[in-house]
Order: sequence, then structure tokens, then C-alpha cells
Amino acid sequence: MPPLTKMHFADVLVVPLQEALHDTAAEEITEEIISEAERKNARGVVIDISALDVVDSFLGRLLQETVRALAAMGKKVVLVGIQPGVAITLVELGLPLDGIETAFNLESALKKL
Amino acid sequence: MTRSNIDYESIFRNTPIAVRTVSKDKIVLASNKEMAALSGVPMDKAIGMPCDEQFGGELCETACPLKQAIEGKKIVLEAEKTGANGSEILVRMYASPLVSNDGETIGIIESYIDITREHEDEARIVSFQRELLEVSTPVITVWDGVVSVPIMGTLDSERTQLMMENLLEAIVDREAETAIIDISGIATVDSSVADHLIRTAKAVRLVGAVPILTGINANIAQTIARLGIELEGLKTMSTLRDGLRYAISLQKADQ
Repeated sequence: MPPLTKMHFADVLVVPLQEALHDTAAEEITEEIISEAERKNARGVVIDISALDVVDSFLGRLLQETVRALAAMGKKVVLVGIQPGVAITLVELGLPLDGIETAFNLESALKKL
Repeated sequence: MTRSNIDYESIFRNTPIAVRTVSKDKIVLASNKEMAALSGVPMDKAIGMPCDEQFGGELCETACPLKQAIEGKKIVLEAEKTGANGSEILVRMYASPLVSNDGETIGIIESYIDITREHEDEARIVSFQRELLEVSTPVITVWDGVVSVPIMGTLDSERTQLMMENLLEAIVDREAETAIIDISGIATVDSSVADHLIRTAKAVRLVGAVPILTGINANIAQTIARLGIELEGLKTMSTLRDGLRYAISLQKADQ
């Protein structure tokens, strides 16, 4: 697993996810995102999933949990770059990530925070 | 006219469907006029020929149905064959047991119908339908950062799927912030149509744009209310104009 890229813009944590995430890798990554957000006391978190062409129900649920956990910690979260196919899959899976902010690129994500 | 003075041979010869008889050891016993036309092998020349030489194809090597047909199993299948002048043709084949005068099964009767044209027509119809679907869900950029998709006629799941794909692609490609789904061209809305619309709106939100549903006339509004359809926080407006005005106001608020 390549190391997770973590970028900080002022008090915003930006994390681009790599393509082809295995279940265990995905779990580790979400934990890392949450603890990083806590450590740096980020106000907002941007998760960029534009590199993901496909998601399955596991990854979809994991994303939802991650966003909820971050929201519970009072962080504003924006998911960036959900591909059309991924969006359709999430809706079909009944995981429309209700109440989650989304944006199509980093710029508009940062604007939303 | 009695049964006995009918020339049964002539029935076989002149049947307007390609027919041949094949022995157990895969030798052609007889073949009719249509068969000659289909295979390109004259009637008299075909007799005594190996059956796959007269009229063969891939099927002969992979899944020859002779044995099953002899056992009396009803055979109907579609296969590619080499027709007259070596062209590839698609045929529907029927096979049944051939019985001698003493009641012994000595081979099979095969009938062929050329369905090449039929098959091509079907493929063409499918591609036309697809094309028609494509053009029936155009995604138009109506303003900077605002795309719109007008929906006409009926919205079934296949169309929803295609509309969703087209719309989402357009949003991502054109970096649209707002997507207006205009249903003024839809006659009626039932719960399944509403469900399709809601799913589309959710997907739009996921790729990062704001979905707006416009074109809800009095009739549709009443139906929605009567059926108790919950549009789940989806912004709805009666005209496309209102929707566009709202989309532009969102952009101004952003700046």
C-alpha cells in the first residue's frame, strides 16, 4: 500500500485516495484520516476520490462511516471528484451519503468549507 | 385424389424450406431445391457427400446435433454456416429423426431457415432504439455552470439510467454547479417515475452539483401530493425559467 498523501491548506486537511483500494487498506486509510484530522485539529476535511472508478458496498459504507465520524468530531467534510459511475453505484446501493457535501473539484470544495 | 397417388418425393423436393436428410454416419441422403440454393451444391451432387462438406460451419466441429436428433430430442438451434459462394450466413436449424420403412431410425431430417436478414434487422432496430434514446435525453448548457436536461414522454428505468449517465458525464465534463431536470414534457408522474427522478437527483448531488427539478405543472403537483411522494429535499420549481433564475442566484451567492 502506498503511503497516504496528506496535505494541509491552513486548517483544512486534504486527502486524495489512490485507486484500487483493498478492504483492509481502505479501513486503515479511514482510520488514518480520522486520527490525522484529530491530531492537526483540522476544521475541514476534503477527501478526493476522483481516482476511484468503481466502489463496492464495503467501500461505500466505509466512506459514509468516515464522513459521519468526522462530522461527529465537528469537522466539515467535503467529498470531491465522485465519478459518474461511482455516483450511480452509490445510489443503486442505497448509499446516497445523505447530508454529505460534495464538489467536483478541489477548488469548489475549499470554497464550500 | 387418394393418399396413395401423391408424389411424396415432390413434396420433399418442392418444399419452400431447405431440407435434407443425413445418414447416421453423416452422409447426405437427399437434399431439396431450397437446400441446393442455400448451400450452393446442386441436388444431385449433394447425395453421398459428407454433410459438413455440403453445408457446414463451426457447429459441425463443436456441437454436432446429429446424435441427439437421432435419439429423438427436439433440436432447434441457430448457427453460422457457410452458404452458397462461401458467404457466412445465420440459419435456424430444426432436426428430427429419419425413419426407414421398417421403422428403424437411420439418420436425421434437417430443415434450415436463413435468418441472416432477420438478425441484421433486429440488430439495426436495437441500435436505432439506442440512438433514439440518446437523442431523447440531450444535456444542454443553458448558462455558465448550469446544465439542463429536458425529459419528454415517459421515463422508464432504462431511460433514467441513460439520462443519469449523460447528465452526470456532462456535469463532470463541463464542471457544472447546477443541473436542471425539466419534466414539462412528461405527461404523468407515478411513484416509479418519482423514484427515478429522486435517484437521479441524488447522483447529481454526489458528483458535486445542485439538482433542481422544474416543469412541475398543476397536474403533476397534484399527483405528487395525492400519492404522498416525498421529493426529499429536492428543489422543485414550476418552470425552467424559475429554475434557471434560482441557479444563477446560487452562483451569485457563492461569489
